[in-house]
Amino acid sequence: MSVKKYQLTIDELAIDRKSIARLLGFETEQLEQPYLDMVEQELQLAKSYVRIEGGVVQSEQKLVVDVKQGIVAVNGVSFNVGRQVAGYLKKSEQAILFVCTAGKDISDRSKELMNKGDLVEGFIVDILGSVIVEAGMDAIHEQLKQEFQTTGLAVTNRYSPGYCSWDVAEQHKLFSLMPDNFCDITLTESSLMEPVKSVSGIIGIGEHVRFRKYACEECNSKNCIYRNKK
Amino acid sequence: MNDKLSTLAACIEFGKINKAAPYPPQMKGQDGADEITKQLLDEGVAPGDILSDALIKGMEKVGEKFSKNQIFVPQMLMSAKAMQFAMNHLKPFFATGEADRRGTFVVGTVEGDLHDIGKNIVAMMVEGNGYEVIDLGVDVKAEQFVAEIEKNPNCFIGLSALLTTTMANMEKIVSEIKGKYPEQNICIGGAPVTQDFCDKIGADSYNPDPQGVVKFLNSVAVAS
Ligand code: B12
Repeated sequence: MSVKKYQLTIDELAIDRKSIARLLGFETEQLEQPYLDMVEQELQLAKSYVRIEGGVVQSEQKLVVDVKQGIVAVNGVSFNVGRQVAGYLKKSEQAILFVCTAGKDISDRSKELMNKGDLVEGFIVDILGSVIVEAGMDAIHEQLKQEFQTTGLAVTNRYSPGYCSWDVAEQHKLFSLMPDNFCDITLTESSLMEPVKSVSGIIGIGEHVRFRKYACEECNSKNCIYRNKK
Repeated sequence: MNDKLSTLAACIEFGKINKAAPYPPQMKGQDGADEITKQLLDEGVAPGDILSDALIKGMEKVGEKFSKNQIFVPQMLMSAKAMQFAMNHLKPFFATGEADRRGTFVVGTVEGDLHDIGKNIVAMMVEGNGYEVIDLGVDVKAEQFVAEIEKNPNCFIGLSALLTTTMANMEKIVSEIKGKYPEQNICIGGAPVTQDFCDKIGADSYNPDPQGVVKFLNSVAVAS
């Protein structure tokens, strides 16, 4: 397995204000005042203390995919990803397992604000943490895409335990294929990653795979963080 | 009705915290929930009347507007914050029994789960609607809820879980509480939780948002 780590700052990311608005609950996806100012202020401050860390592990063995059974096997470890995800990974030759975290500090900042009684700001910072880690993983995904492109390979979208009938309890299998405390992320018995603002999953690579730009239109999940993203 | 009471209700509705707060713009420079509550107490208005005729009225408006999608969680939190400033003046009277809360809500994120933002929002809204809230934090075990029920026999329980794995612990906690206290009202919520799951595990109420749980609590609190 080959391992690679990434370190990113907020300035290197594309932070989508619409995602922030949506996660804050604004159905209009529009940030109104005073919330817009609060978001910008906390985002600015976050730049001084948030370090995004990501890591990928590339499997050596060929990825085995059984669409009918909804199973993919990475280096001998088989995952019950469900038919949908197995289908999306079908043409992949190898797999990349990933984790990314926005770190603990942003959650601490949110708690500090909440405890002070700054409820709105505390909520905003929590949501910023979510958007930052996703944007961090977007950036890593993009880098991977470009790296593999030079060798004539393409990458798939990313898929995570806990989405599309892939049981979140399989996080344990995923973590078993990665170095211990990878990017300082640990997994609790209940399959929760610490720090909380972390994501994990799998990306397929291969000559004939494609990145599905319109994945959202094809999926009926109503509560996905990726939803509606262009 | 006292004009100040309706102004205070408006401060809660629009999230006008105190005089210094610049929001909402149409109330800039005016007294907010903080000042007006104090003035009302100084004028001799009963704390219970301030709570029911101004604060809860304002929060009810907030609830209505949220249900109609006219405002969203951040605005609701702004009102909750204005409410906290008002409540700080009323707290001494709750302690002496001169004013009463509607009930006690004991809330926590279930064992194995560390997500707290959703639970916190629920806690603040329930508190803002006139309940005493005891927040047990995250990773809370059945015994901790049971111990709290022993201290507050009429309390309502609120459980939050964000992952399907920790929903299993929710089931365990509900069955342990119901085993000892079958009549205790248990409310559940969190992103993956559904009404079906609520029925299956024998909890009393599932709600996708804080407004729903406030409605449920008001209905059972009045009944009891
Ligand atoms: C943002 C988000 C993230 C963020 C941050 C997560 C966080 N909570 O901090 C990031 C990107 C880091 C993330 C990561 C993951 N996520 Co995520 N995430 C979400 C998302 C899109 C929104 C959650 C959120 O912050 N909402 C805002 C807060 C305020 O809402 P809330 O906590 O739900 O609380 C509200 C209500 O639920 C309710 N409520 C809450 N508690 C209670 C209690 C009572 C009594 C009542 C009445 C109401 C109530 O009121 C609250 C206020 O309105 C949800 C999907 C969704 N739309 O809900 C998925 C979701 C929670 N994630 C999910 C998953 C699977 C994951 C990952 C495991 C994916 C992965 N493998 O990487 C990881 C796990 C992270 C970890 N630490 O282990 C699943 C969980 C279900 C499951 N399968 O177990 C969800 C439901 C998406 C899905 N698949 O449907 N996630």
